[in-house]
Amino acid sequence: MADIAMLLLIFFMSTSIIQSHQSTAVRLPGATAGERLQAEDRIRVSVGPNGEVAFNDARVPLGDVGALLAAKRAGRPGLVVTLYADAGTPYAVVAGVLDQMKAARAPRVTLATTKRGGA
Amino acid sequence: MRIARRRSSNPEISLVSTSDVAFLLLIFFLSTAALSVERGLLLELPRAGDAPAAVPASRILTLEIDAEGSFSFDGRLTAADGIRPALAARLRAVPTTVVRLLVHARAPYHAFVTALDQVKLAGARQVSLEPGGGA
Repeated sequence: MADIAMLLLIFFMSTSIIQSHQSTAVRLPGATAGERLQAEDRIRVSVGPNGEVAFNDARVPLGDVGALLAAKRAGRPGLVVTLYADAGTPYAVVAGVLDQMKAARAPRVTLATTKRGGA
Repeated sequence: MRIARRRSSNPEISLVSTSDVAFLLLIFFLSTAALSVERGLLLELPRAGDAPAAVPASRILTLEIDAEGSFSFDGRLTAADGIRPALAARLRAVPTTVVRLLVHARAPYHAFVTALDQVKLAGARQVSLEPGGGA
């Protein structure tokens, strides 16, 4: 019994470490219509409250996001970009990131949110 | 003189409490794993180079977000939860309505997400994103 508990413990510890991927501290906005994100081919772009941008956990200048996306996108037609932007970030920064995604021809973007109650 | 033989004892570390700690940690990780389900709003962006579609003015409805994150619906100030019913009524009359979302450069991102959320809940399928000043 204790062995099984330990095995499960190791499993949950390792998966929770994998999930703590945000290199920038991000407080996500709430949404009611947000759908559960599927475990598909995804790239993470984070935008912090002061406009700092991270691409798959590595801090990058905003202007580099498009080139990095274009490089990662090659040969991956089902790629989805997930944008983890802080609720208080000025829209101009987010619009800049969306423009870079558009230029990199990454048409499917998911805006990560937290669940807000009520419909 | 006889020296009493010391009995050899097997030193052991008591592991009784280890399983208790393991179970407590297990419950913690189980609960946090259940809470960390990620959610999101899916957007299909237009491709760079696509010609902008011409939409007649009668099919366009403008939703504006100012620098403070306040919403105006066709020029009238509205609360966030007022967007959905007004837009749903418009969509019943004109199902092909395109929502023109004008967002101020300094508007907080959560206001943009709230607007998109309400638009999605109302059932609108097409949104045009445009800079709404302050850029």
